[in-house]
Amino acid sequence: MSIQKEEEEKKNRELKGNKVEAILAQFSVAGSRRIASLILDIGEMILRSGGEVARVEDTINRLCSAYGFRKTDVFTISSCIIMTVTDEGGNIFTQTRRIRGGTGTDMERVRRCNALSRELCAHPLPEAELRKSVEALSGTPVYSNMFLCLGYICIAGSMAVFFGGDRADFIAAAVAAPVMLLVMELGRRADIQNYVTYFLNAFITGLLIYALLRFGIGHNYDKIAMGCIMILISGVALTTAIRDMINGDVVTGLLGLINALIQAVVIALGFVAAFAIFER
Amino acid sequence: MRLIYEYIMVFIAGLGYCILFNVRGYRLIINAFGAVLAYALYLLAFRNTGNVFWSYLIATSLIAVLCEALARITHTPTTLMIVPMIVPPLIPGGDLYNTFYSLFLGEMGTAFTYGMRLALEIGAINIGIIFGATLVRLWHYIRIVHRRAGKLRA
Repeated sequence: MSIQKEEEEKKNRELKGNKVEAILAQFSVAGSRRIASLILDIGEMILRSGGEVARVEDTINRLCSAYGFRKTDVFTISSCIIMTVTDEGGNIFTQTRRIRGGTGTDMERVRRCNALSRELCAHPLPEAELRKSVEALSGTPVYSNMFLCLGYICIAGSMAVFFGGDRADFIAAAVAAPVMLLVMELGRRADIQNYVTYFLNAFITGLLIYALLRFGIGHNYDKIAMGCIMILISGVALTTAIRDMINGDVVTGLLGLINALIQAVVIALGFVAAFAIFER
Repeated sequence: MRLIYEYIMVFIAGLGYCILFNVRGYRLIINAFGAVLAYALYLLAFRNTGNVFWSYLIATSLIAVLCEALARITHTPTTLMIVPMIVPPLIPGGDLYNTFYSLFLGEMGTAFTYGMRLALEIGAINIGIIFGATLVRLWHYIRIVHRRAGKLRA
């Protein structure tokens, strides 16, 4: 009798083991990893387009729980995202993204990522369609270079007048702005995005403005320079840093704030140096 | 007359910033008008207080609150909507340049005056954004508590 019982218990244990194995086999690790990678893609896109750290972490958390992952731990700073996920089958894995080359500001892309993540949280898509949606996000339309040029001219000219310039100052700033755009593009293509680039940009533009003054276009160097400064000053960096600090990421916020302030100082020094060389 | 010019310039600059940030569609116009409104609020506050710091603070807080509301209505992220509204009228490009210009020329007195104004303005913008965001969060929190209390009562 005891032997029969033993054999029964053995059979039961085997069946149970098989059942658990069968259940676990449904949640394949590779599939979960691919989905987690796509979710991380969305988070990376938001970060690269200028979104706040808290928004990135919140988006990734919501998407992961929408896709049934049991536990998500995300850590984000402006240059790195680390995510550890436990999926339904109990598999735990970590994925990392490293953000190099700085961030641009693309509000349309952040808005689309946001909209996609809201949709996904309501109705999670299967993997193939998720991949297609994420790839569609990278095709977000951007304004052409001509339009960007127009935008620069608008900002520089209007700010020059706003700070007290006159019509000639508007024209001078409007002429100097596309040059600034050119120098910035060159700096971006050469992949140097630090204070030296900003200083050189400001300096070259300052020299150009002084040349324009000498030729009779524009009356006040300082008003034109103020107009051009407003383009380079990164209001986004300042505001994002402050909002990061509000959301609790004091380190990221503080770093961003100091970065923005040093940028502003360097840019101002560039313009001042270009003028002071000739007027000393 | 000068005032109207300034409003027009702020509007154009707002449009320019929106192009820079790849804002599309109707949100462009909303942001540009928001910038004009921010400038109007600043001028109003300045007329009533005469103090640069307080006028910046009041203008920035009110615009931050308005921005959060607009962001919820138009389903856009708040940060990128605040920037085109606050930067053109309120970021002190002029004081920045003047500070470093007088520093370069060695006029320490003027440099200090402009520098103090710059510090006050940047501080006021910071505090204004924080204050506006805090007000909105407080309102949300009170709404949630109110709802919970309502459910308990029922």
